[in-house]
Amino acid sequence: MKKIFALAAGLTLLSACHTVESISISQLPEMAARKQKIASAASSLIILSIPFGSTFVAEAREGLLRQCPQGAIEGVLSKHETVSYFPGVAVEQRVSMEAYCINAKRKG
Amino acid sequence: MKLRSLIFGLALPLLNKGCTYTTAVSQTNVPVDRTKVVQASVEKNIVFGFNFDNDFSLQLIEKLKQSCPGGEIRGVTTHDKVTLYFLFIFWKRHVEAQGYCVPQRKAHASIEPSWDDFSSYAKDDTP
Repeated sequence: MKKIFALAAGLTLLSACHTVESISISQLPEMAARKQKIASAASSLIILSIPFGSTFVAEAREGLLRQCPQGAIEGVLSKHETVSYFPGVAVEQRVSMEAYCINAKRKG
Repeated sequence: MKLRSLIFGLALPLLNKGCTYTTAVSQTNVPVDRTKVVQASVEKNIVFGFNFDNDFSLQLIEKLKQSCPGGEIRGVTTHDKVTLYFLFIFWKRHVEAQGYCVPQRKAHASIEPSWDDFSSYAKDDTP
């Protein structure tokens, strides 16, 4: 009983551990163009090693596009990480994207 | 107790059958023109973990090029996934990419807004 309690306590201490799985950044715009910063994120749970959907990547991208419907999106920092709430039981896959919205002026 | 552990140990892989996990995500700069969406995907079956090369991913570029002849592909989202099947003996790597096909502009090398479009921002920053 003591061992089980100690194991549970130990695993709880590891809760909410963030692990970066992949990260990428695209070309940054000129300094003067970095006026509007946008961000979006989406996640999916994995319970008992069973993932529930993989559409969260598209959701994160769509969230970014909604914030900049008329401009270009540059300097995209995309980060894929897993958050372990209870190792082996509940893990969250999360994708976050940060970027700059560039609204081009119309010529003429 | 041992029988229960054995049953649980065998059942868990079966529960993971067909489970898809994301391994990598990336996103490039997104253009203003997002009218034409292009998609492509490649996959590879792996048995017993034997994977001698990852050349299958190179086909993704060719497939994207074919879907956008004469244009440039911008705003590419790449999503790398792995699907595990029975007892982890067999799994599948799946890479998909989605982007926007924009016409090549002869006047500028880059399809993104040119620096001239931001000239007003530069003027605002000067004291």
